Amino acid sequence: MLDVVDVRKRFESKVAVDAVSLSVAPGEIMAVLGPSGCGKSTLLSLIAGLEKPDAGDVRWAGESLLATPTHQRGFGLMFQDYALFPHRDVFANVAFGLRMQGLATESIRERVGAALEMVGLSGYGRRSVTTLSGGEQQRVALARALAPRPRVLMLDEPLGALDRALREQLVEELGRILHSWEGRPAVLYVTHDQAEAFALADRVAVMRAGLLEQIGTPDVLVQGPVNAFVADFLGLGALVPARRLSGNTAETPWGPWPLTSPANAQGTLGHILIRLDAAAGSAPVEGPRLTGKVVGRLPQSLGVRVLLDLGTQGESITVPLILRSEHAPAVGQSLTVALNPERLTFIAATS
Amino acid sequence: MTLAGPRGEGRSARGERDRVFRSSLLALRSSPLLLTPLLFLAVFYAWPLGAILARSLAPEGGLDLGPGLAVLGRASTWSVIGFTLWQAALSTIATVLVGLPGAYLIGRYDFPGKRWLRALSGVPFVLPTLVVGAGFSALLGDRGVVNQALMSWFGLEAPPVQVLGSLSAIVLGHVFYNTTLIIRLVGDAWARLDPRPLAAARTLGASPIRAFVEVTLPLLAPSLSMATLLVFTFDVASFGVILILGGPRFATLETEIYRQAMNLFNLPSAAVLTLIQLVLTLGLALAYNGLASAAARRGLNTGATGARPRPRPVRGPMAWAALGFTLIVVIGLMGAPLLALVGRSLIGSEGLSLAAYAELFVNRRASAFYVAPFQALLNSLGIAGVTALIALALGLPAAYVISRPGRAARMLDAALLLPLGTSAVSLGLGYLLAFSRAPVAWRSEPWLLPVAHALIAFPFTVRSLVPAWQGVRARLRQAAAVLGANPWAVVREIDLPLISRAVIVAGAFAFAISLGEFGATALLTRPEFPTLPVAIFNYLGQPGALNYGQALAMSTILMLVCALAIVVIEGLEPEDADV
Repeated sequence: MLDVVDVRKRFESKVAVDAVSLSVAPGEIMAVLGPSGCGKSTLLSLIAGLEKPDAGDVRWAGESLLATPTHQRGFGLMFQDYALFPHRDVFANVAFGLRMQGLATESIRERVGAALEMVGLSGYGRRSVTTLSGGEQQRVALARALAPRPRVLMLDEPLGALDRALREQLVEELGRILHSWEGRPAVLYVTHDQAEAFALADRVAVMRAGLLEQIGTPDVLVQGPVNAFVADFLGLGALVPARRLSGNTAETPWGPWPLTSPANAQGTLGHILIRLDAAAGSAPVEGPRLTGKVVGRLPQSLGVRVLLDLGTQGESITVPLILRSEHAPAVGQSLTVALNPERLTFIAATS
Repeated sequence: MTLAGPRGEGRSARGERDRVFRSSLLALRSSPLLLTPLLFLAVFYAWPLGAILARSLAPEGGLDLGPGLAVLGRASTWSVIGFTLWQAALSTIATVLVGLPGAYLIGRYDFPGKRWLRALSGVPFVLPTLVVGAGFSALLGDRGVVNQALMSWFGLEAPPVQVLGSLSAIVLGHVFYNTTLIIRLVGDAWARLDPRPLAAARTLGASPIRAFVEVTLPLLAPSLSMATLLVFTFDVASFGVILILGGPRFATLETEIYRQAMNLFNLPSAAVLTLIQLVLTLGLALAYNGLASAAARRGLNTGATGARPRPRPVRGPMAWAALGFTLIVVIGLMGAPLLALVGRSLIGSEGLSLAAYAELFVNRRASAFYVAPFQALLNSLGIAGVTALIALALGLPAAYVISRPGRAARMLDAALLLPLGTSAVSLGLGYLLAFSRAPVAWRSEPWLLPVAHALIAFPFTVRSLVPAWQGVRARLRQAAAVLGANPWAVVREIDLPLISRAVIVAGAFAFAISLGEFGATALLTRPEFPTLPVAIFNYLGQPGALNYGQALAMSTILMLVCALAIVVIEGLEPEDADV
């Protein structure tokens, strides 16, 4: 079990990682999700021992690793730019970690072969790494990180440098490889792409500006985002300011609305999350509704994604909603939409 | 499958001391690496320097400024200082004027053979001063090609061309040496200039000359001033050129130190003069360093402006004139003495012959004090090899430390300025003074000479290695560490293979510098163990056609070996690397 306990790191005046704690079990895949600059790569460096935390601890099986130098931690790290050794061929790259472990030549040959086969690059052993395509380099980097059977495998935006088509194809493959690789390492997968994170991970940790906002399974995050940032980052819908009046009612700029809130929601000031699918099928007479002007209209497979400009009280709020195409007027027209209270979630403001 | 658990000792337990030297968790600990080069500098640089200071300021033990002030009081001292600066200034101006057309050519135009021209212009720079002196002698000396030809064609009694032994010869020699600095440093900077400001000036109505003066010149000013200062520094510390091309009539600080020490045995006087020379050269080195830092800070030299002009094919009168002039300079000024050297060495009493070369193997005097000249060649090669090894053994750890961020790096980088700003003769004198008595009576030890050469070559070796080491991506080291490589394994597996080219270049540089070194060697040489430059110097100074021929033959061989080293350097070094 990998335990990161209250780890902090600052670089000169900037706090990169601020009291982050998380745990990853062997065989579990945890995604660290966040925007650029939120500190997720620094977190990986700290866990790998490439940087020393200012405070906190990194533990494996209960024992602190702070005094252990990087090359003795037994953790694998796959860099965003792959960092393949240009002066060695594919075989030598993948074999590097095994050589450092002092394995016999025969074992090395077997293990490298198995690793290359796992990533679909059998027979590439003698190729020079500088002649490989982006996708091939990525696989070599993965094979190199996996071959020594690390107890923790960290991947820093492994698909970041690839074009979209390749990325979608590789997410699937990556998932398959990670789940079936021997040794079942604990996996930390850093990305800014929510779809990737949700596709691969058992649990997701959302980070912003060095802080861990929320950790949970994808379902938990979607159903109960703990604050406005998480809801917004996950693209769950628009947020409008609100004040909770009682159990299931909140005061909004459009009057009181009934709503659903997660069991642990506290506080009175916050936002209401209007989920993408909050538009009610038929329009009830009472109940929450929104009126505004359509400023965007994007037909999609599940309906038409409409952007509604509410233009209220000086600041303009735009709400994305998915409507059935017959209910979605053209751009420029005004629209009134009834909202399903079950798809409205109150999120308290955090100080 | 489990891996080793945590080690017993903790990094956090090592305390404050580490933070001064530790720059990254992955690097080798800087302090032991620093130790060897610093120790070397302390014993073989600081100590001799101290000996010079002691001899000038405290000749009898206690502080006694008397002898020092006496030297300063003499008019001759000041005329020597004055001439040093005067000849350096003249030489520098001439060099800049000769080099600017070439810089213009390299900076703005492209043509077939451009790379060759640039490389050829660099050949003189690494040639030993003895070779250059011999070359000019072979071209313009009394026994040289021009005079012999003119005498036989016109039936003259005395050699008509008397250039050697004059100030013009000195200036000529310096121009020969240093023009390449202007061509390369200014030319490369010119090539990196952003063309857009110049274009903007032209569209705003500036004529070509106006635009050049108002836009290009100010942008070139940093590199031009740095190159000029560098040339001036080399000219101030020049030794072989003054001695051979100027002759006994002229005295600069450097030659005067030599004369006082070796001919007049007046060590205290030599020491005071050395002190003056040190102040001068160190001051110049600091000034150069200051200019370089300022330029780097403003980003003007790094081409940080982004857009690079595409070099145009040669067109228009200015370009053709520049090309023609540069060709004349490179082939005429630089090539002629070297060609004359080779040619003259092959001319015996009856036309072409290899007699001079054959004579190299003969020890005609058959006395213990003289060795066959060929032995001198072997000595030089051996010394050069050992020098390269010492320079690399010290330069590699020093460059490693300097290429990392941190205080240790800046400290060592600054310390390197010292040997760079010390003239060779000063160093030689320091060794004479410091290592003459037990328990450090190393003056006669054979290994002292390679040590001196390594010290002279040290800054160049390190400066060649640092950029290469900085070019090794930190990511690669991190990847290796994560895969289980301890810091030594990282250096072995990642750094060294990736800098192997630079190592060869640095070694070749040190080898070439040692081969041609004359200043320090002149003071430390022993008759039974001469180096090739010393042997050439001796033979040049003796009458007789055979001696002269042998001097030229040895110079030719020396030139060819150095040229080989240059070819290696040019071949392996990336384009527009720093000198």
